[in-house]
Amino acid sequence: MGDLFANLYTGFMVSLSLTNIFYCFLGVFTGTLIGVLPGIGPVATISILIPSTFHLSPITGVIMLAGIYYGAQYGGSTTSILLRIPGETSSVITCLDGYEMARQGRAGPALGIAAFGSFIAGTLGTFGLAVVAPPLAGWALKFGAAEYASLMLLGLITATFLGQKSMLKSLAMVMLGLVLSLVGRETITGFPRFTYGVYELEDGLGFIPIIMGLFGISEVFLNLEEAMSRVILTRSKIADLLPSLQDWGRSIFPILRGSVVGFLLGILPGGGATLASLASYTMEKKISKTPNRFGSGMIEGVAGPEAANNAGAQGAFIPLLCLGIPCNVIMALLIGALMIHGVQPGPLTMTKNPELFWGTITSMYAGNLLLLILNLPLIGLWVRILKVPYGILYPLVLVFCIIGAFSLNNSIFEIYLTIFFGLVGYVMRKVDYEPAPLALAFVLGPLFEDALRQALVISRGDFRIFVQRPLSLVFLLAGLGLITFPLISRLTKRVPRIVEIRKP
Amino acid sequence: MKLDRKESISAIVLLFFSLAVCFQAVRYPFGSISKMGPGFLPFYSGLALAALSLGILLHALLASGRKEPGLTEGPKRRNILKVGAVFFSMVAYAFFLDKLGFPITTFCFTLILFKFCESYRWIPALLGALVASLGTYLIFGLWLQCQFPKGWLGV
Repeated sequence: MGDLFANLYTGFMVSLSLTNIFYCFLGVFTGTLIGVLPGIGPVATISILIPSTFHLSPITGVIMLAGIYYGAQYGGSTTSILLRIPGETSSVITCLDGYEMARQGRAGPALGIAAFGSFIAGTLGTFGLAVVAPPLAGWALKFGAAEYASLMLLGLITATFLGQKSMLKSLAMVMLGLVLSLVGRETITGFPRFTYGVYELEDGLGFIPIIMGLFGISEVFLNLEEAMSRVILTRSKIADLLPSLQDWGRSIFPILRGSVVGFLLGILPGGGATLASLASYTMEKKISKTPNRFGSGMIEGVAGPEAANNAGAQGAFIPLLCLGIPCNVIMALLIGALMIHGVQPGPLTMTKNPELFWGTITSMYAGNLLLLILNLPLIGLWVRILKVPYGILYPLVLVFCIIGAFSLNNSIFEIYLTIFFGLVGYVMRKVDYEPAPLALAFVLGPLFEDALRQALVISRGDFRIFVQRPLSLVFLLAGLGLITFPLISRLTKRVPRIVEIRKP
Repeated sequence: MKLDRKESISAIVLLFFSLAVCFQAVRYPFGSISKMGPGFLPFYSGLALAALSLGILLHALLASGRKEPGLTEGPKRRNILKVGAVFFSMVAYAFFLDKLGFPITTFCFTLILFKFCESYRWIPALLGALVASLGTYLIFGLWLQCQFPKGWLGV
């Protein structure tokens, strides 16, 4: 316990520095903004803003990018409650009771409990992260090349769960991501692969042009294709934001339950904050004495899921910081950003970069406090921002993408690459191929190749090394379980369908 | 029975791509299992992608009879044209960036989007383009010190 507080102290010394607080504020502000704004999500924003962190230290950059992520969870609830349009998929469930509360003139308490619930969950999530991460990272230190190769394989299988549609297509996207990650000079021999004499490809395809294209530009193209209209619920009063004592009495246990469930589910691959909020809502409905009233403006239906999605967002950092495995696409982006800064996230992060590790964890606490301050008094500002037309936003988004791509190497080639992947991403999403598994596999691909090669060199080409080492076997069995589970579920027809709701 | 064209075409494109990857990979030193060469992983990744593409194609063929009519509804043509216009404007932006310099290219690009893609009136479109180009230049060029190309006019 003493170590825990010493570590937290180290973290707070880093995260509470003036620079880091400023960038944390910038991150959570941007996150809330994009959670509220139409047609741009946290994935696109983080991918666009990664180049702007190049001049920052890795810790400051990650604090800002993480702030965007959990800030977007806050912002997403505002549009869910006032517009019945989920800002993020993790806020889908908030629409049900949040919007009904707004229709009954109780938008204020709904927004208030969403903010307070998120803050409490964020605080508990930060503490949970600080408790769970060190033993997990210590355990991961025992890994050898075989364990890493199996873990990376598990990570690649996990990536298929980021897609919400066809498993087959998600697997294909993982393989495509793996192939794209192999472009450029091979790390051991320096042999050029798939470069075709193009000088710019010798270092491989850039992570930033790929994700900015696949997520940022393709998102703009898709939004342009659909007519966007939104009506803000003007009848609702949003002046009284503080929930009453009765509201608190009904909400506190859903918040606590949502925090625990959210944190645990956040660690799981693919689900993250979205799965957490759905699970919390289902649980509250089952526990409730009046389950039939859910959907008609029950504050429990807002408090629980909002707490869960925030705790889930923080739980997702555990596999990233302890194992170097991203369990969702935003974590993949953060890994990419850290690697650009020369930091390889994994079990050694805690010992090699304690400031980065504990600074990131504690910054989330500071960020949650900033979000509470931002969200409650500034709710009027967010409501006004809701009215910004998309026609003004997207030209700026595109300019940011182009600047981000160019500033990587001061190269026009990177801009063409970004535009190309924008078109590829647009076509892919039109035919229901999701880019998230591709992005994750692109990050893990080179790591997998290196670990696989090392393991096979050690075993002199004997594949049994992967099943003879217990931890490696566990990872392989987990991967096998993950692949077979959907098939079994489909056979028994018990797979719950989670409909993807794209931001308007 | 109507074939799901989108699904089938995408699977065929993926299949050709994966076969191209395999054909290219076999030209690289392959090595052995104990000492993997540069062609090892690309070849097997390509092969796996080819198998998955065949799976998607097969799935599309089998599922074609079950397609619901509502799901084949085409996108709105006018908006597709808008997507095309924005795409080509971006390509033009990349082409002219090192010739005209960042502020001028950004001004022209945003003006085209505001005026012709979004149909704003001339004055709001000009003002929007001016604010966007100057704002981004101040933030990225002067504050964050991005080295933008100067162009023929030296700006």
